[in-house]
Amino acid sequence: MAPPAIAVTGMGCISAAGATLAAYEQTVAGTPPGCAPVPKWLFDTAFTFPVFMARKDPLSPRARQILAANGLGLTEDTVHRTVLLALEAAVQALDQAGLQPEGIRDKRVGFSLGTTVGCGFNAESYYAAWRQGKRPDLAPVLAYYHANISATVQALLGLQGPVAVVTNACASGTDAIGLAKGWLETDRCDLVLAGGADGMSRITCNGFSSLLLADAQPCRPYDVSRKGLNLGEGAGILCLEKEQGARRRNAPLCGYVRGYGAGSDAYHPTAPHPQGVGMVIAINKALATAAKTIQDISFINGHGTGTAANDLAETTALATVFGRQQVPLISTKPLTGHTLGAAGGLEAVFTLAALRQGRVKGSVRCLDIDPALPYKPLPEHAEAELTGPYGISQSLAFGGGNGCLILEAVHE
Amino acid sequence: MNEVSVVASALVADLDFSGAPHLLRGLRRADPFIQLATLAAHGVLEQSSILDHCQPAEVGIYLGTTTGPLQTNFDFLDTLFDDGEGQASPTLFSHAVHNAAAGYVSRLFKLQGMAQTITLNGWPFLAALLEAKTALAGGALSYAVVLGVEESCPLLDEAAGRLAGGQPRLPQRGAVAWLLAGGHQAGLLLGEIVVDEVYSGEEHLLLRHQETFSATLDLPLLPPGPLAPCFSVTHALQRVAAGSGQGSWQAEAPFGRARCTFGPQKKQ
Repeated sequence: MAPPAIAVTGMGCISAAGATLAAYEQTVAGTPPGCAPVPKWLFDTAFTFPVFMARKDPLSPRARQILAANGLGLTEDTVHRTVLLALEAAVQALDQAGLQPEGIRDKRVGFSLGTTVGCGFNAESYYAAWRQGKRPDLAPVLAYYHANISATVQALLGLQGPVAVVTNACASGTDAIGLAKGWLETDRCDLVLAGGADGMSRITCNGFSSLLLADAQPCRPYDVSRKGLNLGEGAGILCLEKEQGARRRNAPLCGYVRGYGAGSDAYHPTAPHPQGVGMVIAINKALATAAKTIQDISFINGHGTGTAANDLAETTALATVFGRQQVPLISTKPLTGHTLGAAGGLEAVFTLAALRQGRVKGSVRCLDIDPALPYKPLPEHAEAELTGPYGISQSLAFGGGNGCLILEAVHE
Repeated sequence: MNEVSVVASALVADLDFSGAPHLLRGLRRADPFIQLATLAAHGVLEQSSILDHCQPAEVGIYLGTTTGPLQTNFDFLDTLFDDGEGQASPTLFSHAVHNAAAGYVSRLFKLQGMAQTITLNGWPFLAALLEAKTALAGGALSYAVVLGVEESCPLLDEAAGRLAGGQPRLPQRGAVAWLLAGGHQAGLLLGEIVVDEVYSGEEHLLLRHQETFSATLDLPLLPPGPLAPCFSVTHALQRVAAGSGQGSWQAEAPFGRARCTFGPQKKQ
């Protein structure tokens, strides 16, 4: 028996490119957001590379109301910024799906969210004191357990169902959506909020700086002058349901998650395989599970970080799979920065948004395509009509992980 | 849906490479978390011939952990505090990422299927088992190495001791691995897996004093901690495999319940 179709009934997103999906679409149509050094209100750092920040206060009035009403003793001061970003995106996704948390308390609502920063111990001042032999109040240690974004956001919304935090580095959001697809296909829950979230972190800033992967200028994925990535923060979450259930309640359909595949490079702790072998495996598996061919794909939202190795490996993989067929490829990271565990969630939302509009603009700041790239992206000043409803959103990660989603848009 | 069997299992309680010295070269920069994962993966792969005949993309890795390589996170912070911003260790940063261990296992054993790392407060190894079973049952993979890895962290051990009003908790580190196979393979059939976590007070997650285990056959007593369910369910599996060929294991705690059933034994 064929598995049930997995419908997307709601999408939520918050990033430097906009605090909602509508705001993101305005950004795409208008002026790209700026990036700047980490603001003082977040943390003090000597890290001077520009980053892409979501708004200072990530919560909408509705999300703030939900946080204020929780009976768990959690406040904006006791949960990590990653949780706030995830809560905001989850509330948006539920709202678009026509659902309120109070109305689905009798359902099995799974949470499959990816993160990197969110699962770390971010209370630096506690550790600084502790390693000097002091024994500060334990509150930051206890708060560390609220860094599990799936369990915490689910609890804040008062919902019950399976939870998982996918910690596959930069592919976490994509893989979390793939995991959620499996949950629905095997009837482990009635709906799932799936995607990813990550807040800006001093640890991460210094980590990428130490790896010499951060660009001092705004990032330029696929451009010959690219020098690296800019970090970003945000959250992107899909509300997923079995199509039959969604239709039964007359839910709005944004699209479908048709396929998912993953593959490993088995090559290096941080660098992608030069031939993109894991990415090739991931794309081919995703196409197979979607029962689609490359001829069905009309759009590719690439990982496109702007590092030399990533963009080369990714386009090499695409050339291997797509051959001479040239499907529009862009990166949205010039609008959001690299949001790490959130990237796969945000980019799944952006992919469906582009597919629903039926056209896409080229990668911002990709002015002079790197001639060494075997697969050519759509440059900044180009636009493309999309020829069908199916698109790819893909992610590469530290550790050699690669994930690929095949998404189908339902046109409004 | 395919049946899923447990082909092999392994427990690793310390970093003893005497049985696998050839792994050390590839692990010279690796932290204990990665080393534990690699030893456990080696423990199950050496019991099987799958690497001789299986396509690399057909073997996946699923790793469950509660806190990941948290001590490596702190080691990275040490370099940040002591050496200053701009001087932090890139190696420690890349190894502090939770999926670094799965990446090492993938690279050292040439496994190119899905590499999924799941972080959960309660029973991440059971969650990883469930995801691997789903992938195998649906035919997405032929084999999966499923790992449960926990590394000791002095900061958490001290906090646990202080919270309990006593001395720091004794350090615990270790890993378990199960090699799962889809289709008609020899081994103990993997039955129902339930992971039902509920939101709970942080003290329950840190101390885990009220977590209990039960199984068809007697289990060894284990000190409380995130490693205990990994070892407990693996002991249960091994006793069932050595005995009647059928049984179950269950955990209950303030943060939910988990359950796993095995059997019957299948022979080729």
